[in-house]
Amino acid sequence: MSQAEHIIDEKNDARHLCWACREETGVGPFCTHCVKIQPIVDMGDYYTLFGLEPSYTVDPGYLKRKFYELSRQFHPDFYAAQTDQEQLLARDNTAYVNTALRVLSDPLRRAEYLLCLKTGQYSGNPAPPQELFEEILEAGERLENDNLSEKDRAQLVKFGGNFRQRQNDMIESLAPLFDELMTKDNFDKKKIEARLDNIKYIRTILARIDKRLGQSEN
Amino acid sequence: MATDRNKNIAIGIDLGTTNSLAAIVRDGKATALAGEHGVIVPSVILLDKDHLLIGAPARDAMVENPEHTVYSVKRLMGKAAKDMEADRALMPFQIVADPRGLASVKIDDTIYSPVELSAAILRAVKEQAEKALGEKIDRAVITVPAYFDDAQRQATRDAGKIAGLEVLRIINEPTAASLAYGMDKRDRGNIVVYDLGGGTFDISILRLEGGIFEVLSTAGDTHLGGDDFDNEIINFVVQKAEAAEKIIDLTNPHTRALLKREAEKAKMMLSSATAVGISVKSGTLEYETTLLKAEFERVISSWVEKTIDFCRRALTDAKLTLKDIDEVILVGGSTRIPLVRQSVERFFGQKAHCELGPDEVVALGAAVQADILTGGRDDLLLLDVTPLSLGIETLGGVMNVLISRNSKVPAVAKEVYTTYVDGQTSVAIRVFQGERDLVADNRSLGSFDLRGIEPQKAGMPRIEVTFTLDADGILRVGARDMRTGKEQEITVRPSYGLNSAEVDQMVRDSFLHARDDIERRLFIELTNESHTVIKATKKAFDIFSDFKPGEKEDILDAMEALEEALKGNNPHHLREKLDDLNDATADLAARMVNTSLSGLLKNRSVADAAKLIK
Repeated sequence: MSQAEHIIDEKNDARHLCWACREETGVGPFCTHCVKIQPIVDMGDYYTLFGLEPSYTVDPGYLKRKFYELSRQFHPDFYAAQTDQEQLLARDNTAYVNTALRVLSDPLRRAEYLLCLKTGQYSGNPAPPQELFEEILEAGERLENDNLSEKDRAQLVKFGGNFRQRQNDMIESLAPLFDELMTKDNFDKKKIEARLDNIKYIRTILARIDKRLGQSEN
Repeated sequence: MATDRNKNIAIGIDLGTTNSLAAIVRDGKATALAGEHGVIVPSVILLDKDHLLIGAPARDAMVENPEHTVYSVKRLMGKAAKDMEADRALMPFQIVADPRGLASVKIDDTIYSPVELSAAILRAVKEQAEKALGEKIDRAVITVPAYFDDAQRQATRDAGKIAGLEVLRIINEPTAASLAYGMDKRDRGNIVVYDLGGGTFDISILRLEGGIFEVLSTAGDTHLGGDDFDNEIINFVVQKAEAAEKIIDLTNPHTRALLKREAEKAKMMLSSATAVGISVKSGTLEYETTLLKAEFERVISSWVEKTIDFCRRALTDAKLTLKDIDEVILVGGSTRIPLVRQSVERFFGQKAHCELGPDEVVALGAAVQADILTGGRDDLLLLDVTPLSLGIETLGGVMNVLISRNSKVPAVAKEVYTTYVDGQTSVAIRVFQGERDLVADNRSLGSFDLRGIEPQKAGMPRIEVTFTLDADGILRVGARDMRTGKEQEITVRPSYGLNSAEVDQMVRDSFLHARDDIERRLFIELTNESHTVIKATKKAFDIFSDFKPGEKEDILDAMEALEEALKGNNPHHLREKLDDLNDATADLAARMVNTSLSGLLKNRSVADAAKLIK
């Protein structure tokens, strides 16, 4: 039985009562008794919400379709004529769906989330990958310059390209690691954590480079 | 009255920098609502001791009465007076700071907030819509530039409330345009909405699929638009005059208003002409010159280039490339400028579309959204994003981003707070919007004070604060003590807006109400009386058949005129029509009474007669 199902089951045991009619609500996001919208935040993890088994690989097309389907269920636009309480629930449910999509559709956030789900925690400490140390140092120095010279810009563009390539490679290498994590008991958590720390670090410096290059264009 | 019967009626309003208008969906089709001057209500207000003119009449009086005429109010919404330095020199009316430092307008020693001035425009638009529909309207969807921040959105919402509207939703202008366009022209694919209006610029990239309008990214500048082009023309003319040793004194409000009008005219003409004459006659000053299309394009080119930079950024944020874009839609009056159009088409490598009319398409889309929100249709759904990152101040004045820009709304973020000293009972949270690393470079949204924390050792309390951006893009903050689960008290001090008590105060005290309370009350009283008379007359037709030649026709005409007057809001006009109907029926009433009650009620109205006969 997967982690997500556990969560759902525990909630069931707690016997959720509908906020509106005070009857038992059943499992779905709408009360089985009075059909009013229920808070989905406590009903399980993002994978469950999207009808998925926890897995590192997800089909982006499926995510999008499911996201649209969930939005059609919960979006506040469809609750404008309902009570304030229902409008608030629609807002919060939709915000939850939006967060879930954001996490599941991003390879790094998804990896972090899955690692937490599977192992209980991941406290990300961004760390530079050893092999990029020199380049990161130089990029950092150039970013410190108040005015970017032509040479600074050219170098930053070059570093940016390298870092992006390296980031993509590392993200691709996550899939087999997570396969191991999901299927075997003796997975290498440290190795996954180290890789995520590296990706996080690269992502931060890439964002700084992109921002800097974008700003100086204006 | 009509209000109850038509609870489902709601309009869409485009509250523009230069022009505003309303639209409504009827039988599944969106149409703009026209008044006597067409569908557009110029966003201009004339306020002096005797008059409150809004729209075309105010715009026409602008040059004669510049000190009392206000335009481009939208640029002041949710701004501090110090943000408006650049505009101040170029606007003929006085921009001042209110006691809280918010940008306001001063006319004849009275300070008007942009919120109530916008409310005046909204109300004129609402009244035009009511006249066109013959029904009362009290609910609306109002559009704002996608790049509006929290304070500007909140200010727009407040203006709606002061105008007597329940604001169902604040939606983004480019998104609204896509809704109108998508319904009409295309319902699948990636579209770009390039919206360059009188004061603001927005670019939004959307994915359309199966009735869902999903905004992928948005970018823009709330201070980039036709007004800036006008200012460039004004500066160009002033400099050219200087070279010819003529001094154009821009501190003279009349000269400024005149130049503004000349600049607008020139800009519009240069969409088709290659040169245009500009003449300034003000006091002793007489200056004439020519503005070439090439000169105009040169002075605005850096602005236009800036919009293309935003297009580039939006494309990156949407994670798309140029070849993914299926269609480009132009919105806003400034997209009529050939240079703008060419630049957009060159960048995107395809022809841009504007079939729905760049002036109306936003209001049409807002009407569609109003239809959705009132249950008119559930096959369409807008999924929008927040244009700006939202964050809180952390140690060293660093911005800690909680909700990043282009996140889908509603969006939520949670943060856990604790205390730093023993016994501390409150914590201040400062919230900012913007993309810079330091909060000082971003826009302060407000302070939130967590109060009533149980005194404990430092670091012991754990208060979870929830930041929610709602579907309007407006921030809501809630707090909960994690130990007790109790809701925690939180008070909000907006940096550039009004708290709810201040809005309520404004609803009560607005100059709008002072001026028309009496008229409005009169109108309501006359409305009731008119309905009674009409009902009685109809009854009289049922029970009485002895008419003089032409009498019945006269009465019917008078009744029709009265019914028409009821659709308006002018009590004097209504009084006149009511008197007409009473006159037309006076003789009939007398005869009815005579035949049935022997002259007891001579010279009484038909209503009294009908009552007696009953």
